[in-house]
Amino acid sequence: MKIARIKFLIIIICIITTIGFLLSGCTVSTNDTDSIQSKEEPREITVYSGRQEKFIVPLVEKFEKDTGIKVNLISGKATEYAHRIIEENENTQADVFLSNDGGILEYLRIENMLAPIDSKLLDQVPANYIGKDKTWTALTIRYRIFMYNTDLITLDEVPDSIFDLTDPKYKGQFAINRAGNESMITYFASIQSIIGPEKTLELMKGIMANDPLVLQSHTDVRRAIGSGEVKFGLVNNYHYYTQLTEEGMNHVAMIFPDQAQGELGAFANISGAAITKYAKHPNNALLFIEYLLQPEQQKMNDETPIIPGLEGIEYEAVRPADTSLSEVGPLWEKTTDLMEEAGYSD
Amino acid sequence: MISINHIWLKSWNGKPPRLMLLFINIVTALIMSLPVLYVVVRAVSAPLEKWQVLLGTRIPALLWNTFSLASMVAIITTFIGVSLAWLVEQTNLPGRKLIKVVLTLPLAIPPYIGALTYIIIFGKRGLLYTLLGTSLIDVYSFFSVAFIMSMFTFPYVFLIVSAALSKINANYLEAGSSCGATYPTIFKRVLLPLVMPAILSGNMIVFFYILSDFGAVSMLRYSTFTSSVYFQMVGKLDRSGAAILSMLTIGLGILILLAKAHFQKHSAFYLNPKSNRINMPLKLGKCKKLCLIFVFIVLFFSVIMPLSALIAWSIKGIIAKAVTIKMFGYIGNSLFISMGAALVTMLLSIPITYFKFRHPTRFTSMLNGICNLGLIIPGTLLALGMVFVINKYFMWLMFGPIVLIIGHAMRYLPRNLQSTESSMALISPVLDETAYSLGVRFGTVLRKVIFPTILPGVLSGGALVMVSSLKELPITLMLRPPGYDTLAVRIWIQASDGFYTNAAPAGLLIVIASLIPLLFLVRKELGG
Repeated sequence: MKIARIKFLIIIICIITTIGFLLSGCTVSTNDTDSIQSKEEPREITVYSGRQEKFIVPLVEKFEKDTGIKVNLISGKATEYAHRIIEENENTQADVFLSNDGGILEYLRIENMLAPIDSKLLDQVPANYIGKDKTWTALTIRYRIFMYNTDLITLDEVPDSIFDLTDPKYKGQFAINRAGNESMITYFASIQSIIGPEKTLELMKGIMANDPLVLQSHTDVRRAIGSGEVKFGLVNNYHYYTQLTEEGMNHVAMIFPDQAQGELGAFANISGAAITKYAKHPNNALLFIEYLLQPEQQKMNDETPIIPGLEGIEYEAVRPADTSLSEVGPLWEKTTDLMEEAGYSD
Repeated sequence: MISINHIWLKSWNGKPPRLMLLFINIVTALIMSLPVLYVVVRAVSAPLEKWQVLLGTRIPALLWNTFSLASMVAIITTFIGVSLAWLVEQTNLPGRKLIKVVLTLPLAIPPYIGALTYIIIFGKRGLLYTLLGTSLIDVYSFFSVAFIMSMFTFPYVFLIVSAALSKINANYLEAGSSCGATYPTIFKRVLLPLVMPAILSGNMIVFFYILSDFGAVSMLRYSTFTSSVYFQMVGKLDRSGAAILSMLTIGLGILILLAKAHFQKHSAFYLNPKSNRINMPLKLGKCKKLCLIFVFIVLFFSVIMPLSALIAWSIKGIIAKAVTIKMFGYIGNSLFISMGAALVTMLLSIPITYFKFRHPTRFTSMLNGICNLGLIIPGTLLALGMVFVINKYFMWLMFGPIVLIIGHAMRYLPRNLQSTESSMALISPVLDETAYSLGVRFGTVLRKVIFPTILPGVLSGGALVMVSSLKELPITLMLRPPGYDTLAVRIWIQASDGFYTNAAPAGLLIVIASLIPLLFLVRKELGG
């Protein structure tokens, strides 16, 4: 009797597994591994995307409709996919890599994992947002800002320079993202490219001495500001727009730091795209990136388009820092070492 | 020839294993050791300065953070898990069958969602702060973190211990009381030693859980080795630094495994399954109310509170149209992967556990230790190790979801092993030796003696694996083929910009899907 019941259960498990298999069959994409040499590429590409899915899916769907090329998309963390591309090496499935950060693209460039994007459209992208040898291109741009809680602090009291964060009067009043976050490293690497390593170290030590609330993501930082746990914090400008939509936590405002004469200017980071060195469908990949750079698709972005002067787009009135993201790569390791030395480590 | 044969026999203490058994064990251990090797290779190839920087600055503090949290959670979960198991199995607590079912529910709630409900209610500016002007407790303090993690892990101890308690023969307890022992003495001298292997196994699962989790822990602003490994690798793009940190996690895990083995060597108790008589439940009397209040408090903080939050958000999420027809595909994918992983671990746990108990040598312990490593390696590194190996030698595997089943099975095999071992530990070797001496063949002994007795443990293990696998995120995120999303992945994708209500429906679906293995787990024990 007992055995019979167990047998029955096993059979049920097998059946459910099979059903699961059949159900999953509907969503598995079948990857044809046609020979790479064939001139006529299969009409598909695989995209490893580190961007939020809701930003990228509408663009992908439009591309599929307009070109008839099938896009196999996986969304995850850009950094994880960067590691995956490196470990997969010449066997990679990825044709296109989409990143939410310039530093990661630089990392893949230095690891020699990217192929040049041979397109005239890149001439329209500002030169400091293109990788060396056209290995990657920016798609959208964002700025590092101070967002503050208007219930707790007034515009006059909010610091207007990143260097003010070392001022003891702000002790314990602000939040920043943790050091183990690619965009923080890109940020301090950019600063380092202008003011040099010693002053960067001094700046980071000063900030850490001021007891910032170090959180695990920019989302947590913006929520900490919105809820009033801290008075202000360092986020990107789109986090400000997101915070405005959070009911009951939207008493916030933002300023671009370091805008006065002689100051650094606001730091820009990008979302960008690259073609992998071992792409199986390089022509389709190029087509996809060109498509994303065309005005119509550029305007579909939630963030500011990288192509300047598009009709109907409101560009931020901001003085950007005079630096190039294509310098970040070589400074990456030095920057993480400096962060570790400053006690800004986890 | 004779001497080789002699050495062979001697190295197995005169009881050499079947070659097939040895083969399965060695192959499994080899596969399980691949990601470890990957970690070691990456760590060893790191420049010396990296080691010095990490050793000098971060590691001492991280070591203390990790060890103290894991120990604290192990202590709390042992207390809660054992006392609840005792109440449900050995006393006349009203409604204990229902309680037993409900007490497994925390396993179905992904801990990152559980932690989130605590943050939203008890956080610095959470619900309580808005209502009362104070949040009562500091949700990010050590004890809060330990408490919250305990609330979502104690069922591991509870399930394993109550399975063991339900098998205890009334003869043992009656023997105790006929010798004039009072109940507390019987509890201490008879019950506790008998369920000790189960308590240790439960502890081990909880300890390794804390060692390997980073989602909930880092959400609670607490740093452990694994969260550090994670941020070192994904944030700083530093694989060798991450490998160094995770090598130390592996070291810590091996130490714990050795300690457990040492402890268990001196305490072996066997039960005789044939003369099993059901024990009379202890009458609680005046304490009954107090016990019910205790059960309710645990249920409130581990099930009622997080689950009502999840349901409330899901309703908001459904109203905001976060649910589409694609959800069916995600459910199918989740079930396929988790059941596949459960099946693989069930098939493997029988030969591995049998080998461990019937051919105990140094070599056996080593193989078994390796099989237990899956839970210690951070998921992201395990996945990268797999990408590394699979791309070199097994390219064809990358093109389907099979690779996910392998990854999940590797990660959760230890969970099944712990469960199976606690059943196997109760079978006296005399039993199968008697069978052999009667001329019964190996296969028949396995089928007729071992298999029926450890089957409950194997199946519980499988159910545990399935529940864990449904929630798994890092490996799935890294290894899934393009277009292949599971429910856990959907939670992550939907919640990544902080709008948790959109992620809640997928979370609720995970809870519902987990009911299949959980109900099975409890039903089987109630029935048996």
